[in-house]
Amino acid sequence: MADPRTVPTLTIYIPTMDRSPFVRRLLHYYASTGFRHWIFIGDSSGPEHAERNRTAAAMFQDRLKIVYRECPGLSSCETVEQLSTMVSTPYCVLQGDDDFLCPPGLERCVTFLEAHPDYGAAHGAGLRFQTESNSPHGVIGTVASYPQAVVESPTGSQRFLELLTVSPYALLNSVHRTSIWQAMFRGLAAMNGVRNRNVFKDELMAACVSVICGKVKELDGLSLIRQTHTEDSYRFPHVYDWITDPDWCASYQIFDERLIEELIRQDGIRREQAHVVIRRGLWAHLSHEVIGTWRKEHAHRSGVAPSRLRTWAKRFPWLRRVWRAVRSRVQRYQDACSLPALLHPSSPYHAGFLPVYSVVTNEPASVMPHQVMADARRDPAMVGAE
Amino acid sequence: MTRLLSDQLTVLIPTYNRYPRLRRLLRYVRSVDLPYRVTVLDSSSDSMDLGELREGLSDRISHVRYEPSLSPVAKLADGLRRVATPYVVVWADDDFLVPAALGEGVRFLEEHVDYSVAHGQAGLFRVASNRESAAMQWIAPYRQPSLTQETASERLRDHLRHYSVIAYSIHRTESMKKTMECCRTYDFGYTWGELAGGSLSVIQGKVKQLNDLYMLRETHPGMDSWREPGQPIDVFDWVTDPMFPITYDAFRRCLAAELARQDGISVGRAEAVVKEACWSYVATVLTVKWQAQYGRRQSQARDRLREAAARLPALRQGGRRLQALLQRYREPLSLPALLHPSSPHHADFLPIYRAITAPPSEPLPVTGSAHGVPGAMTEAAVHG
Repeated sequence: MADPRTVPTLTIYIPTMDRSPFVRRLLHYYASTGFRHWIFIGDSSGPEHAERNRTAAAMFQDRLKIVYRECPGLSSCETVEQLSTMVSTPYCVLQGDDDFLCPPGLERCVTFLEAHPDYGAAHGAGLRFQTESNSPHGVIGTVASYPQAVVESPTGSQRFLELLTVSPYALLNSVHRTSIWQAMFRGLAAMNGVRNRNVFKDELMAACVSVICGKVKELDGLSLIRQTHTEDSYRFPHVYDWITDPDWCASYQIFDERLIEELIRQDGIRREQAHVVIRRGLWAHLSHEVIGTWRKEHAHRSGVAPSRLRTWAKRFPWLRRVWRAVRSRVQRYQDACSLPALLHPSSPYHAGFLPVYSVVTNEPASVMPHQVMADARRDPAMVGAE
Repeated sequence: MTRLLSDQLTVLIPTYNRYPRLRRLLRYVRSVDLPYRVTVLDSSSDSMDLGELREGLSDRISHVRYEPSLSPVAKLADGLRRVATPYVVVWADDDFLVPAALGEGVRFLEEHVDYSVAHGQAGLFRVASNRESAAMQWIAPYRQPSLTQETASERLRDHLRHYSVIAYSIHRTESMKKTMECCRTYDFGYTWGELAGGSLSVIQGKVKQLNDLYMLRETHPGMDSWREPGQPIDVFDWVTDPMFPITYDAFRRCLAAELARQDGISVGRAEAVVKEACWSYVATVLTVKWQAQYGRRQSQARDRLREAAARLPALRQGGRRLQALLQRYREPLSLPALLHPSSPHHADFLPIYRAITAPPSEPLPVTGSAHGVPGAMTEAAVHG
């Protein structure tokens, strides 16, 4: 077995569209961590961003193993489909251009999959964060846990239902075996849609094929840090818009056919049985999405008035500073995924989080590893972290 | 001013290939001497002895034949064009309406111009039958609420959030004609048509639930046997149907136009209200139907107890008696409660019970005047 720390065993796929500052940040991050595996960039950007991305890729060519391909007019998962024929490593993983994967966490996943052939994918813990300005660099605001799928039922049908009825269904940032990976993204070009407007095409199909093909394990340690945005052109459409999109039905039929094929192959069941399984799972997923969205948007129409204590306390700025200091100290102990906890060396995620923190909170040219803690100490978000 | 009952309300009975149930219904209609004009809208492809059908008809009951291929919406729209009374009620061939409650509903609508729909208490029943006779197994309450909010937007939100079928309630004829024409114009088909019809009625005015027993609806496997061919059969098929996005758009436009007119708001704002209301309906129905079809049953311990008790006949009998006794006091629309003379609905229920359980060969007693239908035997007057 090849040692994933020295031999490239993994390919990271990065689809991107019109977000060159994030691509540059990401390449800087991987260069700063000494990442040894392959990075495939599928770029659907317009000319301006594509030119910047090409330049950034060339700039890091001597420090990173980068394959850069322009994929104009393709959606995120479609770029993966196009690039997946070029893969030479036994494992693959997807990441957004604004997210980060932690190399030690990825290597743990590779080691696990080498030792457990009954598993198709693995990941470590996930975090999500937001910068206060929503830009690639700036002060980090909220940090929270980002749950990912854990699916361990014995058959493909059971795993499919487990994914869509019980488990969180974020799965594409898990390390996958390449054979499964290629199956996950096969045939996506048959569906319409770019900019993640088609959920079947750009998430659901690949995630469902993944669990039908194998189990998914969550390991200790950090593997994923996602950036979320208040405004995001990559965001999936509102569920109502998805269901009423003109491509909805045609995409559903392709999804159904593709999963039937996988279930028959995996479980040896009849076509009709496979169709019933898919119908049951997708129905559960739809009802969960629709009712969740409706509740979020309409359940608290009137909103909650701020308490009198809060209104009174706002009159004293020093009280607010004290409160923040106290809260961050309490958070450090109570919430393992809070920023104060992550910045403290006692956190199990500290080592994985720190390079990300550094690259986000500092402009690329100024970051040096030894500066990280010093910078962090100066950051107002770190009050009480030590 | 007074008017004859038959000049006030028309009953439309759409039927499609359910002659045994139609015969049962006509027998009931005769037994209560229904004082309203009745039109049977029949698009059956099954054959029935016309003499047998004529037996069930009278001078107040007419029978109109349609092509079996005609859609339920088109058939109803044609039936409505034949209605000359100010009020109309659609009576499904497997349901039972109570004449007294129809009279009360008409009276209420006459006196309350801000209401567009009236109905009363309703129940759902199941029958176990063989060739000779039928036995009523159970009756459960069937939700038919009032919607009395002042604005059409509020009523629409409430109606689609806590959906109930109001297609079988008493409607103002002109409003219902307009509604059906709208459904035909937009080519809604059955599912969207029922949703749009109810929603338009709710937008046009308030809905009143009166205290009388109004309707008992039968639940049986062939409930949807008259559905158009090729139409989705359940909510998942409905949502994944290729026509869903297109018809949803038409539905939103249709309701928004009426809502904007009724509430005096912009079409854009009305569309937002319709969107919110419609998705609350989709969310509820997707979840509830999924639970019904695939959800885990909660009371497995109770099932095991029931199975064990089934092996001891004495215990089973005792259990049933106890259950009936409890139901009689706790649930006014249960079978034990309705069969007891102390029930306020007992007199209205008995003719329905007899029509269901008496063998077809046995004539039913005419009970019209015995249970408070004003002038049921003659066509008396109500206030107009």
